[in-house]
Amino acid sequence: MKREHIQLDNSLLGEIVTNAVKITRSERACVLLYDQTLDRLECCYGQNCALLTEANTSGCIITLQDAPLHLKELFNGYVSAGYILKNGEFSVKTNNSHSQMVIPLRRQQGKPSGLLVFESNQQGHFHEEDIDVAQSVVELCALVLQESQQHANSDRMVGKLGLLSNASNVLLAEFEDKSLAEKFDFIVEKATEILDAELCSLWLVKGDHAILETSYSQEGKIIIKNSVSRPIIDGFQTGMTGHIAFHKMVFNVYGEALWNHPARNPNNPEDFVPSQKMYSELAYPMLDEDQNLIGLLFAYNKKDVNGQPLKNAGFSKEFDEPLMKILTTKLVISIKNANLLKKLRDYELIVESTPDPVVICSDKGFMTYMNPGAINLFGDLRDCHVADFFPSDENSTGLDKAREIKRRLFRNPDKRLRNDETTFKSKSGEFIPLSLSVSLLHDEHGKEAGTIGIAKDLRETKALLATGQSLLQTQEIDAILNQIVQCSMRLPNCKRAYIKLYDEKSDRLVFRALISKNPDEAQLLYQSTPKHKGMTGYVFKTQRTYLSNNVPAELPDRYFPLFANVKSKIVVPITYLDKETGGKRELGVISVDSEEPNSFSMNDQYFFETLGSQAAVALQNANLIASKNNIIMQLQAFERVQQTTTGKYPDVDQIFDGILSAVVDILGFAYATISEVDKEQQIIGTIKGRNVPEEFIKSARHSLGSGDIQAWVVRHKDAVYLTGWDDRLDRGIYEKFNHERFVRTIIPIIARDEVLGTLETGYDKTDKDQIEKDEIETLQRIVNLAGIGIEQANLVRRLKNELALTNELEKQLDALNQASIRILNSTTENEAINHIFKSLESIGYTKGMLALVNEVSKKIEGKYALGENWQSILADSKYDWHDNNILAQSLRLKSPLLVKNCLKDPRCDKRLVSKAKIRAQYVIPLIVKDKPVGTLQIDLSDWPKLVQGDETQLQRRMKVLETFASQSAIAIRNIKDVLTIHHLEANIAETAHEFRSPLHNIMTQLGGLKDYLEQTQGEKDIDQFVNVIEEEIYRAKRQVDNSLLLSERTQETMEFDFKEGYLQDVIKNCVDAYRLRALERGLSMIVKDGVKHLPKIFFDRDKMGQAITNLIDNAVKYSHFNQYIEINGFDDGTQVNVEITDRGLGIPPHEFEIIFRGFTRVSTKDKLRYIPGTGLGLKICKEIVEKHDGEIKVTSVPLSHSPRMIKELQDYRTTFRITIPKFRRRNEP
Amino acid sequence: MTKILFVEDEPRGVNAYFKALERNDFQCVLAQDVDEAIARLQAEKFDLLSLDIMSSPGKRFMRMREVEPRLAGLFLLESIRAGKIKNCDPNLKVVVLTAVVNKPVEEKIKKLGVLDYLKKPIDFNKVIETFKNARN
Repeated sequence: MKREHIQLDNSLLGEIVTNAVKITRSERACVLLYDQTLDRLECCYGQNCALLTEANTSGCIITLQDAPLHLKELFNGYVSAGYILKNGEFSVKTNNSHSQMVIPLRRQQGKPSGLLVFESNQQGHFHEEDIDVAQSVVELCALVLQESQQHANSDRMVGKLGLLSNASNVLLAEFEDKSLAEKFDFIVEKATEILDAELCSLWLVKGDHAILETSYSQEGKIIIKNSVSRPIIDGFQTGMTGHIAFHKMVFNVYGEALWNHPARNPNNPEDFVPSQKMYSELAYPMLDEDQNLIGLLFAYNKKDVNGQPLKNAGFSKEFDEPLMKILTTKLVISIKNANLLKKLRDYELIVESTPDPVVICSDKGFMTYMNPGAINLFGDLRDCHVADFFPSDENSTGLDKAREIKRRLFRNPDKRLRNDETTFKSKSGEFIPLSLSVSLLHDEHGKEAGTIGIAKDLRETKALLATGQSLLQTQEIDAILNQIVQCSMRLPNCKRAYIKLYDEKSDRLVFRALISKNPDEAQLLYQSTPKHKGMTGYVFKTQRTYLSNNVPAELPDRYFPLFANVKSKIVVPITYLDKETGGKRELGVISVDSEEPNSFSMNDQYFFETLGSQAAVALQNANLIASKNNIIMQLQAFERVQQTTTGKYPDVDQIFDGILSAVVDILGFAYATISEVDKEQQIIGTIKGRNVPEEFIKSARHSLGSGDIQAWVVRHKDAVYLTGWDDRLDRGIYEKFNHERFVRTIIPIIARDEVLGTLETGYDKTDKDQIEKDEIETLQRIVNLAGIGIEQANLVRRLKNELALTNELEKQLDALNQASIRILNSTTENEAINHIFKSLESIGYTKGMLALVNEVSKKIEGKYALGENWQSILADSKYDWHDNNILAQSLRLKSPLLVKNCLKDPRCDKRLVSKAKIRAQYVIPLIVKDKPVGTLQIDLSDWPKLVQGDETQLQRRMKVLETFASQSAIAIRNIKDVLTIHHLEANIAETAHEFRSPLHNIMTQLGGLKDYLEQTQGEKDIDQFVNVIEEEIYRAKRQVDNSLLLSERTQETMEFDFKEGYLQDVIKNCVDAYRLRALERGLSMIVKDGVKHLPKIFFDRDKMGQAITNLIDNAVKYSHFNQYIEINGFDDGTQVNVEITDRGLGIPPHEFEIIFRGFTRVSTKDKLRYIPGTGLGLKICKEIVEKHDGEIKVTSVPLSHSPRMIKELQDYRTTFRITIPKFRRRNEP
Repeated sequence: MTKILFVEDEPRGVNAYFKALERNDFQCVLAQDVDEAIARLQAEKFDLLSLDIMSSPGKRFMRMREVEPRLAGLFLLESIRAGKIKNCDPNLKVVVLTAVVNKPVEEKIKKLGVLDYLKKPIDFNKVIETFKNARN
């Protein structure tokens, strides 16, 4: 390629660059030229551009190799357009540059011949659109540079650039006074100058048409009478403009090509430029950033330097098109700004006009703008700081609050704050509660430029809400609704406010409240509209609030204009939301109309929605209250019945009365009757009535099995509803009492699943032709309650009876308990039995018998009888323990037995029961500590009902007796025990005496001995004393032995030492021991010879001695005075016998055995003297003898003849005989 | 000479005292049952009575009344005090020697007024002493 060496005139370049800088609004620019051979860029104008500083080169030269990537790409052909560098892309900090635009210098495709570097100190200064402008400028520059020799053109060009830069400034002046239209006029005028055109015109696109905005020619502005527009279409049917617009093309044609252009239509009357006059035409599209066509700039008839239209030339591609490009770009920007401005203006208007305060703050917090509404509310606070007007308290300052709001604003994802409640101070110092909504403001480049806030004065809202609250106090529906519409009219511009409520019956919305500035409209009250028609219908259907500030623009099918001239409207639904069930009740709508547009704000809508929900609650309450009255009546009826069923002792009669009163007096039925079921007779009969003839009550009785309706109700336990005749009715009664005229119901009264009766009630058909469902429910409830009450009454009655019985039995027990004490304290059996019987009589049992168990014979014998008939069989009542008789059975089973029919019961002695005429009896065994004591029989013959009737009752009564009987048993037993104890005590007393006496005697004698010794020292008297002492000692010892041996407490056992020996020796010793004693009573002891001849036998000497001593002792004791005691012995072969015989108090035959038992003594008492003894002697004898394998026997024969003499004289010969075998088996010890 | 009547159905219970007592200027008389005792009291004058509660009643006595024979002695004392014994001073000094430990009986006896109530077995010398003191 041929190296182009460019010669530059610096001043020219300087002018170009200066203009370029102006046009691109940069701060400065540098020009770099590319030397192909050296492959480097060399600065030829300007200095210290950031580009080169960045590259860290010296002398404003940079080789492409060292250049940054972007630059390289420009020269490598990868990138052809210019580019922008932002601050962040500079790695080396430059002081001068924050934004940079690098535009390649080139005329055609191929490597650029250089660069133009535009720079600015502001960040983000250059935008994409600036590249286009810069590119155009650069193209011009390139041209200039290339043809730098052609000074003339260059000058001219520079001049054009100058014009251009001035024009663009005008265009871009944003806040100048010139309107957009004026600016357009200006531009097309300038365009003619810049482009040397005869005529320039500007077309703007509106929808699918292009409309001629303005035209300028040498004569001046062309006034267009009518609006000229061309449709934007493909093709030339409507002329050039439409086609060009459609294709968004650059149209540059001149000469013949223009005259003969198919788009030319000489006949087109709308063509305002006469075709003859057209030599050249240049049309340039105006496109926005989205490449949409905004308009077209036309230039016609290029002029030469002399100002004459060039006939054979047109607009140049190199110069004029780029110029057009710059012009159109500027125009586009200008229009965009103008639109923005217009929008802003519109917004401004809104903001100006709304009564709600709007405030704009700078990002530093100064209130830069306040709309009239804000000034009105707060006073003029412009240029004040917002922090000064937030209230401060001890926790935070106004500034804190302002910051807090901003923080909250930023925290929201959409950077908006909605309905933040806060307080703001007005200029006058008043604190105003506000609901604040705040958004961020951005400038055209998206930078945060401050905030805009809209507030709602809550005082007003609060006041209105208070009104709303008061609605809830009102109970009258109409009052509520009127309050609402009146409240609504407070809104400014409000023409009318009305409420429509939904009526279920007609399925329409009815005007229930209406206030209007036009009083005639009040006629509409109670008129209705279809429920889904019109705006109100729509809202009612969709349940969504409607707000429109331009109602006529709404779709016709939604709008049902009842009222004319409505421009603004709010409609809110009144819907009750049940918080518990979640159910909804759509009650109606509220609507406010205004004849002015833009009357209502979002806040107003919000307020109405609140009002709507409050109205819903108020209406709901009012409805409830209305139904409440109905319920109250029902409750009263219920209460009436309840009163009769509560209380301690509900009375069935009262309950029925209560039902009748509730039904007729309170609920208002025409009549009522109660029928009761008689279980025994199986009948249902009417027992009570209200408003019915007396006759009816008496005559209405039917068997439960009959077909009568009442019986049917009882059987089926189901209610019936009658409007007239029914087959189940009694024809006679029906006609007689004219039941045809009633509508009635019969309800069964049920308690515990059993039908007790029925309630019948109804209305006279002329008054009311049906009984409502809720009335029937109320009746049912009353009947249920009554049923419960009746059940309770029955229960109480049963309890009362129960209580009465319990009381009676308790009394009986008490009486018996009292008696028990006396019985237990009885000392004799007789006394005890007397008390027992008295007690039984006192509680009503006058007949019976007490039988005792004979310890000896183990027989049950009747001992005591109560009542004559029992007395008569007393003696015969003797039964063996193992008998089948009831007494024996009862004792064996240890259980009381009931005999319901004595004659038929096999356990009873038929003979005796029929003799004593005993029909029924209760036999109670008397057992103490598992030992049978006896039986108590209670005669129940006089109480057949009790015997045959309820078992539990009988049992309860008998239980009392059993308790008593057990105590009696104890008493009887005690007495026996007491006697035994007495006996024992006596025994002990005697025993004691028996110890003491001999001991005393010993002592006495010893004393005498001593005394004698002291006195005389004589020997002959000693014997006397000593012998006696010996005897006594012996005696005492014996007694001690006796007692202790048999005592359970001592562990002594009898040890036997069998030795061979002669009984004779032992007998002699024993006899000797008692000789003197016997002598004192005048008794002679005779030992017969038989004793001497007794053979040797094995025996325990000591023990046998004891046995014989005991017998001798007895003999001595029981002999009369001056008798003899014989001791004899004989051998009968295998055994030896020893006999001791005395004459004195004998032993009656029946005691022959008892006396050996121990602790018993012969009952025969010496009347003349007291005979001491322990009652142990014979028992010991027996034991000793038996240990010798022997036996002891006694015989006692009276010596008197007649029984009388025997009794009086008590003269017996008594012989005790001991028999023991001679030989013992060897191995037995 | 102080005359003592001993009422005791077992002579050996008291006869050892006699010698010693006689040396001390006592005259001792023994009655073996209440009958005899009464007879003696009526016939002679005694200064002291030594009484065993459990003395035998005696035939005649028994014919007189039905009384607990074990406590015939008590009955005798009661009779004396009641003045029912002819020629006998109701306030006759009485010393009781008995083996009876029955409290109620003891109470009764003491109520009737006795010089001493000695429970058998009794020390020999104590008895002598008691009689000596009873003199006064």
